[in-house]
Amino acid sequence: MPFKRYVEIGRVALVNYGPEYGKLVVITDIVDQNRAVVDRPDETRRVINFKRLALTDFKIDIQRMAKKKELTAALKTNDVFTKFQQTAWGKKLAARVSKSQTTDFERYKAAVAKSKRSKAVAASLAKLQKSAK
Amino acid sequence: MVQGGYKFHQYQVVGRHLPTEKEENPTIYRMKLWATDAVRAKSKFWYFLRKLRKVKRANGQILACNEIFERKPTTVKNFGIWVRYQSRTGYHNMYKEYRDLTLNGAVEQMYQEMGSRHRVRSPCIQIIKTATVPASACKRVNIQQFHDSKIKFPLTHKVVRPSEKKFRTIFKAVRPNAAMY
Repeated sequence: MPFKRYVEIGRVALVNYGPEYGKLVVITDIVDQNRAVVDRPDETRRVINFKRLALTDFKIDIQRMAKKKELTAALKTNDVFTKFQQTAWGKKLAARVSKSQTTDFERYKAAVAKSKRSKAVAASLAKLQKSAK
Repeated sequence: MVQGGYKFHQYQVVGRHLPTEKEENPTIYRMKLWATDAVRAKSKFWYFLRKLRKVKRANGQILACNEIFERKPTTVKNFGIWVRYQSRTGYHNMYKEYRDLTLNGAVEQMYQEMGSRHRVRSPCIQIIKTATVPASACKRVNIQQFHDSKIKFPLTHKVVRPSEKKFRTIFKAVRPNAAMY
């Protein structure tokens, strides 16, 4: 099976470790087989190990070591960061974040709503089964 | 200030022989070297100077000792490092190339590599010279292969790692799938 995502200049990747967890970055240069220089509009360029990166399907068209202005422009035209949030992966991450921010009472309300709904579903199903007989 | 969390930092040490009646203006020597702190940098300066010139710490003085920082720590450069090291059999010279953002990072890589490939401890290594090498002058194939603005390669092995150190476990409930597809 061929590979779909490559380490290349302009590849959008997700940081999966540490305080930066869940942030999207763009690869702007490759140092060696283990590390790349990544950039983000609101950060200074820095080096990161591939162990700490998860490559996404998106790639933007930028030069090697693109300037901050070019990077932001390229990101804006493609709107990659919002596109990523619409993918299944992005939605999953967003759902995880929103779940972690809920309070105990909110979770309780959700559980009650779910049990009410499933009770209603079960009742109507039973009715249908009775009428079918 | 420590930059980048490297073990070895670059210092410039300036020193000279003490002025005597015979020689009122002794030659000033400046050396750039790597050490863990300024005290060790000065010590290393005297070690090298007494080997190269007729000046000792007992009759010399340090004029300045400053740490040197990378001018552009966000661009990738090719660094060439010339090394002399003491092995179990004798002294050897070596030339190595590294790609890094800072010279300190390249020196760090060199110490690690000398330790792993040749089992050389850091006190046995002397850095003769360092240089930023342009891409056209690089000699090592491992460095040359990254000189491509359209470079493209896959990550072939995926290990899902915990998002923080505190989430690390020794035993896993499920065998990890490291395939990349």
